[in-house]
Amino acid sequence: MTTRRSSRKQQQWGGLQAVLVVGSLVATLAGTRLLSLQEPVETAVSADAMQTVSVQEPTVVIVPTDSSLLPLPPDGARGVQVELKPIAQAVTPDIQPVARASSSR
Amino acid sequence: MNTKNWQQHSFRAMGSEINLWLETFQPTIAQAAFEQVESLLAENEQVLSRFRSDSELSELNAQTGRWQQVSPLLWDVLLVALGMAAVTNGRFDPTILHALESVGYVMSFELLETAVSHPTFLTSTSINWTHVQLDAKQQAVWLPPGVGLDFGGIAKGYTAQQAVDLLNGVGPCLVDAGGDLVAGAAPTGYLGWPVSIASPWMLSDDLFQLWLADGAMATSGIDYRRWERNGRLAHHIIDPATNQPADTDLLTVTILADNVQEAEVWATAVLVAGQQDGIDMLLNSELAGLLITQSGNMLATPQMDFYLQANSGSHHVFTQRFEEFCKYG
Repeated sequence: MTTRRSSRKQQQWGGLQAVLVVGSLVATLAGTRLLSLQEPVETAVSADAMQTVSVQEPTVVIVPTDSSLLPLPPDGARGVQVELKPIAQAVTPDIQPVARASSSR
Repeated sequence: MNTKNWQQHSFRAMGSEINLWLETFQPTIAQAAFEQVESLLAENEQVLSRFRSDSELSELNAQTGRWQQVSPLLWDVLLVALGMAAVTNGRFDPTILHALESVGYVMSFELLETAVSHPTFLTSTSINWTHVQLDAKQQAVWLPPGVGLDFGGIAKGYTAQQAVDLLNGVGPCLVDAGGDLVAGAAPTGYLGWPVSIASPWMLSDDLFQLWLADGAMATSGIDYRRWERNGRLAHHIIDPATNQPADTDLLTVTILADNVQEAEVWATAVLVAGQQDGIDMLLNSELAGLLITQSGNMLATPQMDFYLQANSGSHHVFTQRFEEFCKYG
């Protein structure tokens, strides 16, 4: 009896295992199918979200009214005053000028 | 090096004091050349003076609205004047005669003080140099009604240049035509003729000294030729845009150039334009110029700085646009 009873139990357990395996396999396949169905929806939502961000964040340029706040150009040309270098004495007239340039006389 | 062979001659013509220098060891040859120059100036004055009622220019000005053939001299000077009007975008304009007359400049300047009253003319700014018509084949000119020509310093400058060409055949020379300087070759042993830029506040003072050779230097200013009219100060530098004496912040402008007509016209045009626009004009044209403002500042272009002596005065070089410059002390 015991042996027959054990054998029946073993048969029941094996059947249950088969059901579990098959069920698990079906569930896995079904889950995968569900996920694959959900993915396009998520993508569409992400695109909408990105579109919303771009609309809600316009580019704003702030122009300072005070010109002193403006950055200097890279070469620092603004406000440059060129200092003269002395000219060699060799070209300095060593005699009195004979004529003067002036407005019409 | 010495100056003993520098022959000199002075006389008055074209309303100005004329001074000539010629390097030659033969005074008789120099004297003959000087006489030729005197004749040249007298002949040109007879053609180009607006103060002489019998000059060819006065006859042309009296024949507006019809074609008039002119002499080669008048034709050449007119071409120079119209060409410079184009180059300066009309800041210089030879058709301002009636504007000059309307502010009282109706006679040679030295006679102005004795004049009691001056006629007043209505002048229009809608007609200018662009309306003058030329017929090159006939060498004929058509002036619009109401327009008169005044060549300003060009007539004197053109003549001074002719004088240098004449004297150069004898030797190194320098011509001073009432403050407009034209130099031929440098005298022996020198880099050029020793000349100076006079102070507008004290003519006997020199602001800068420099050598001048194979070139010209002209100054335009409102420091001398000015007078009072109807209780207001008037001067002879007319702004063609308004036909009134130029409302300028400059006192004098001195230009160095290859020829004196160019120097004279640019000096006038920059004076009319004023400091800010004038600086841009000079930098764009790469001309050697010295500007003296009515407040006493002196500004020189880099090209002018090449000629000036740093130790003979205080001035500043502008190498950028005007707005990029600091205040000048």
